[in-house]
Amino acid sequence: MEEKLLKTYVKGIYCVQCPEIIISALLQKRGVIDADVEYFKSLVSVSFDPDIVTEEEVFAVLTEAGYTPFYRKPSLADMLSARLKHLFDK
Amino acid sequence: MECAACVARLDRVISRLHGVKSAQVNFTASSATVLYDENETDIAMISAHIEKAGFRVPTEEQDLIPESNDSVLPLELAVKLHEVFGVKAVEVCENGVITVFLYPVGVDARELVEACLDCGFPVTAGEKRGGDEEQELTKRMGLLKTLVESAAGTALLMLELHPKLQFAVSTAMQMRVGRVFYKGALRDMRNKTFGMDTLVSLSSTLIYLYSSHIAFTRKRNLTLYFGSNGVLLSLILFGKYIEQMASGEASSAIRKLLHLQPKTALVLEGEELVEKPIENIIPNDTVLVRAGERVPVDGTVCEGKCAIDESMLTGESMPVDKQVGDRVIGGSLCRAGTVRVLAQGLGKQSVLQQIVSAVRRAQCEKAPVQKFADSVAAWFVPAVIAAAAGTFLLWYKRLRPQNIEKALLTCCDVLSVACPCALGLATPTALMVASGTAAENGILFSSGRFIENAHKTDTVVFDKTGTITKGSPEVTEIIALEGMSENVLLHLCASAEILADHPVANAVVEHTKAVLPEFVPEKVDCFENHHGLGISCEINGRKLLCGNRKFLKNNGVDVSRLPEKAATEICVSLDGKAVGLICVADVLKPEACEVIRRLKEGGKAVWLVTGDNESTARAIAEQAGIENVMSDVLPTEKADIIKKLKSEGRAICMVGDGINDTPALAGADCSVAMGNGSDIAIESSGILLPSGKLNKLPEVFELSAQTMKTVNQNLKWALFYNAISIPVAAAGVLHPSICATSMSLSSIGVMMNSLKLQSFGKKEQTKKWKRSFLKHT
Repeated sequence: MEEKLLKTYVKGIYCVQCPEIIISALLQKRGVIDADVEYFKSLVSVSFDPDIVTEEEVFAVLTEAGYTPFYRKPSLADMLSARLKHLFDK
Repeated sequence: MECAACVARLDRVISRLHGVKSAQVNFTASSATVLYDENETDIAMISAHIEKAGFRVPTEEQDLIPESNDSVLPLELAVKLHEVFGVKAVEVCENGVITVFLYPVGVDARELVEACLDCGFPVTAGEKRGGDEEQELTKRMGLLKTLVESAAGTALLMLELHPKLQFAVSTAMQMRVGRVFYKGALRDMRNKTFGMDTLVSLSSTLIYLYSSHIAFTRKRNLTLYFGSNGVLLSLILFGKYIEQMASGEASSAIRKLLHLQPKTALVLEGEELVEKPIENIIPNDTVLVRAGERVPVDGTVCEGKCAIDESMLTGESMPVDKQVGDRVIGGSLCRAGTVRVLAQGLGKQSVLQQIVSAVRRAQCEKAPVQKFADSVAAWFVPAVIAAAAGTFLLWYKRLRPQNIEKALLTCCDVLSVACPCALGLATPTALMVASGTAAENGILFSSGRFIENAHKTDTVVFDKTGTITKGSPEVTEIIALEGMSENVLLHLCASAEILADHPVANAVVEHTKAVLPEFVPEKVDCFENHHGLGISCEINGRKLLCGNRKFLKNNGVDVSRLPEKAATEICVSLDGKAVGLICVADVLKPEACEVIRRLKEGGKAVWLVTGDNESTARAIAEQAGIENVMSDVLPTEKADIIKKLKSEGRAICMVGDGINDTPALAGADCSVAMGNGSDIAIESSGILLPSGKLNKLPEVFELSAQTMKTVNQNLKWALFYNAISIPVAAAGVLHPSICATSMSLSSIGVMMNSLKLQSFGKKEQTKKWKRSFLKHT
């Protein structure tokens, strides 16, 4: 019953619905104990059981949901472009 | 709903309807709770009237996929589906899929599937679309689009184009962007109430008309204010957008609870494991739960052992061991082990859904403090319009006679700086965040009223059994007289008591099993149960008596050598000679002392009310540190005691187990019921602690105090802001864009202040973690 905390920035958060999607996707994954998203920082925190699920698999869940893990905090330009892109896609 | 003033309006619209008994409208949750007479009106009628008043009731769509393609649709299917509460319309697509349109009242797909099964037409639940989340998203995207348009238009206006060009751009903006506010204002007018939209439309229209007039009369020396108008609209829209995001955040706690429910589960069909969507699980299905997975449904463990983390329900993060026969709750996390669970509570009956609906209900109910804010908000907007008119006249007639430009601008400043929304948002946002956060921490409030009342109480009255004590007796002391060891005494006594079915006897047997793991009962002959007194029997030919003092005395045993104890005594005699005494008492919950100490530190008087005799009650009270004790109280008298204490001017918080003290709980200003982990009977009390652990009690008071502090801060801020900003704007020293910014900021400030409550309990956890960390290092 180990517990490990993983924090990562993600790309692609454009509105407040996104954290919902991410949290829902993560909590459905076997081995994920808790998940939280800080909207304004685009920061995802996941606590998971490393005996059951690996870090790569957690990343894969994020990517599958449409949010790429990112090595740094997305800049304002990143966020704006994501938002505008979504707006025009609609 | 755009603004808090909509609440009053919608409330009135629904309450006036024929057959409606009461209506509660909640702004932050965008929801209405309506109590109506089924025979007089129905949901379609109510929703039609809501739409007529200018609001929208979002429709959900649920797909039902037939299991076989060639089966003929039974005619009564549509009728059967319509009988399900909340169904609006049924449609059959060409590919055979049935789409059911639903009112957003939380209709479970399972109910629809069952209705189809009743007609002999098996279907599986398909995709569900729409509903309030989707509506919120569309609304937000629409607002974002308007905001972008508005910003683009304003940027154009800033270029100082030709006046006529400016007029063209501004007109377009007024049509596209201003529409948002005009629509709101129009709706306000129809319903004879006034909100923020009225103020914004008034001020923006005035500026627009004035600037247009100048643009066409070619008075070149006068400034055009099209740009300012654009800035004003954009800023207020931006504020609205941020506010909407924050209000989404306010209900995030409750939405997260819903995410805990897995969408699929592994169901055993014969010997095969099949992955099925949750909606298609029926009672008595066997579900497999592996380590790391969330339990998909409520049910009973029928095979295996596991450790379950129920923190989402109880706020306790320590995993609880579960074995065959134990109940597990859907949404809790299996941390170790694999179990098979017999599905029982499904859909709306599940504990998780009940928690969510309890919290939602609490968020919809108005707290008394909100009535004050609502009454202020109702006359606020007309007062601001009057003030703006007054300002105009004052400037036009007195301060700068005949200077219409300055007078008009100042008047518009007053209109745009006033912020009725901050006032309207002050209470509901704080209560919403608080009840969500409370649920996360294992505290369920049944109504906002109790969040407000809890911290006002100065006296906490505890029920004894099951509340501060464990509720089942335990062996507290064993006294063996000479010639007899404690273990032999226990062994003998337990061998006999195992045959008596009584809580006290069970306590002895349980204790013996714990102390002597290899306990095997002796052979017992001539067993006789003397009800209310004790038991008699023969073990290995020796006569054994276990019972109270009177029972032994009556049988000619000299009990004078046995010491008197303030507990239930089991006196034991062997062959007519007293050999020992086993004391059984209801013991305190381990956390009780600490909790009572903390309550006393918080300045609360603590009372104990119990039906037990005085010596037992005193003994327990002494252990717990309670000075005020009332013993020998019948359950029916408890309510009278509460009344009596109340008449002394105390505000009472009654803490009970919610089973036999319901009248007392109902009579108190604030009532807390201890849950037993799986039963969410929140109706019986104001506040429920599902974990049944007392240590949540001080948190109830802390959270309540913090919430009310936030509400007060919000209200004070809203009043203070308006009291300062309106005179300043009337003095004519503010630019319209500054007015718009400060107005947006003030309502965002209120939202943000309320959101601070989300951190409640998280700090505690960090502290706890730090403490345990320090202990280990």
